[in-house]
Amino acid sequence: MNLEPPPYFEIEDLYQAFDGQAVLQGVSFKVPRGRTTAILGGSGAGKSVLLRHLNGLLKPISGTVRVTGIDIGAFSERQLRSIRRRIGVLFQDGALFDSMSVGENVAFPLREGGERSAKTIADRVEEVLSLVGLSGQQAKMPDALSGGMRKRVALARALAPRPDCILYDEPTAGLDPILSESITHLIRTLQSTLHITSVMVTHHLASMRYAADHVVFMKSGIVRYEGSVSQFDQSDDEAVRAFLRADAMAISPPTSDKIESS
Amino acid sequence: MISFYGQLGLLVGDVMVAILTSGFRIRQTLHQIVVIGVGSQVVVTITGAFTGAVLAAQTYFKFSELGLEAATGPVVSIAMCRELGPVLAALMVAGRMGSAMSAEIGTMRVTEQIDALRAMGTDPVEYLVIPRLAAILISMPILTAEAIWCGILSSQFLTVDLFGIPEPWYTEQLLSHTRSSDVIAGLVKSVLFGFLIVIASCHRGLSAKDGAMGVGQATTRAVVDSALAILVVNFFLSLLLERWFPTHLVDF
Repeated sequence: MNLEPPPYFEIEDLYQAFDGQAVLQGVSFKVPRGRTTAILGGSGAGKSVLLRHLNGLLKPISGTVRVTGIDIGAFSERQLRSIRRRIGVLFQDGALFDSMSVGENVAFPLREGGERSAKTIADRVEEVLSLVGLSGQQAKMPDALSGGMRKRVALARALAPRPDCILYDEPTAGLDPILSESITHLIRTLQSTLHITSVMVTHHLASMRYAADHVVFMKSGIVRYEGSVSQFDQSDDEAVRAFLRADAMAISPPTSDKIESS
Repeated sequence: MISFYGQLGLLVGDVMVAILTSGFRIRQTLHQIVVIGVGSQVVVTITGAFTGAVLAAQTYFKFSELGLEAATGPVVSIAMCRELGPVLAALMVAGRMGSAMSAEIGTMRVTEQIDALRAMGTDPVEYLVIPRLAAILISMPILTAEAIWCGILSSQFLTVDLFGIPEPWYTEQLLSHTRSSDVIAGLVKSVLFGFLIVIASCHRGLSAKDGAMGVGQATTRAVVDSALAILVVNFFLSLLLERWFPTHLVDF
């Protein structure tokens, strides 16, 4: 008997193009429920565009996106609202509302979700802010925050309405290695404690290895690998091998002696 | 061109759907009334006052040669009520608030804040456009009335206090030739101009792209679109309103 729960997202044969240039070319993969899936690839691979199809922010030219088994292709913006409220999104630069304080930003999805009790909202805001290590920072404005703090506030905002899935768009981009490690650790902790389905777009192999259970590797809008993290290093796909080689070179660049001898 | 008008049509459709199907955001609307209405009062009243004054001066200079200086009051009054008051108030609001609206929404667009709204299940039209529309529909008639009032007041000061036309004569001529229909026509225009400003500016903001440069372009285009729309629509409205509210027939 198969006890594996059905996937959270099922993507089938997705095509997308902008200004005549193909960005996604027949992308198909599945995101297992309650686990972290990393969408890995270099710049311009179509990772962030793909992520925006998962909650209907972008409509594909063709192909199917199923969220918990429901095909959202024909859904209107109004019909998508209930689905989007179940899926939190951490945007690349946080996308915090700069006219609102940290507290108001985090409270926003709660108010939009219909919560009216000021005490319930304040308690939940404090709870998620302390979860991301920013307890008591409600009054600060986004402009007064560092890049890492902005991302953590954005994560708190995504977590506030208790979503059952979170999409992370390059969560470690633009952060120093220590902050990057801290955010990755936070994503792993959230997944292990709250059992939220997570989809993380990244080009950092280290982040992927630490936080993800499942990997989708893309190049030029095509999925070149889908499978477990442990099997990723053994893939014989040429694009995967090139990506791994480039990453290894970035971690320990060849010395001048090696370059000369080669 | 077709795409532009198509997008505008879709935005108007979304606005209508949002008005009919979503709740009214009182807090945001009151905030926008303060920003658009209260914040525009000084600029609109100064514009109205000096336009009325310069119109009165030129009318008086020419009409006094013909012995018609008493007509200065009605000419200024009717021009301010039917044309200059609503048009100039709308142009000033377009310059001041149209640019601000498109810059604010455009910045939200290029920094993914609009996508964040959508991702949280909030309709950007309902959250950003409707409160601004409600605020401007409430504010514009009041601002226009203030511009008209300041224009007539400055005209009276100039012709009575400086040029020496007897005050009762001026007032009697002004009131006998200015009808309620003139005021109504101006206020009706102001409501429509407010609608045009919000639709043109929010459309440019919502479709902004390419970072800071794109926001700058959206802002410039929002003001140009609004101003052109106001001037072109005003011409056709003047003809229509003359049929619906003719200056020589309707009075209350």
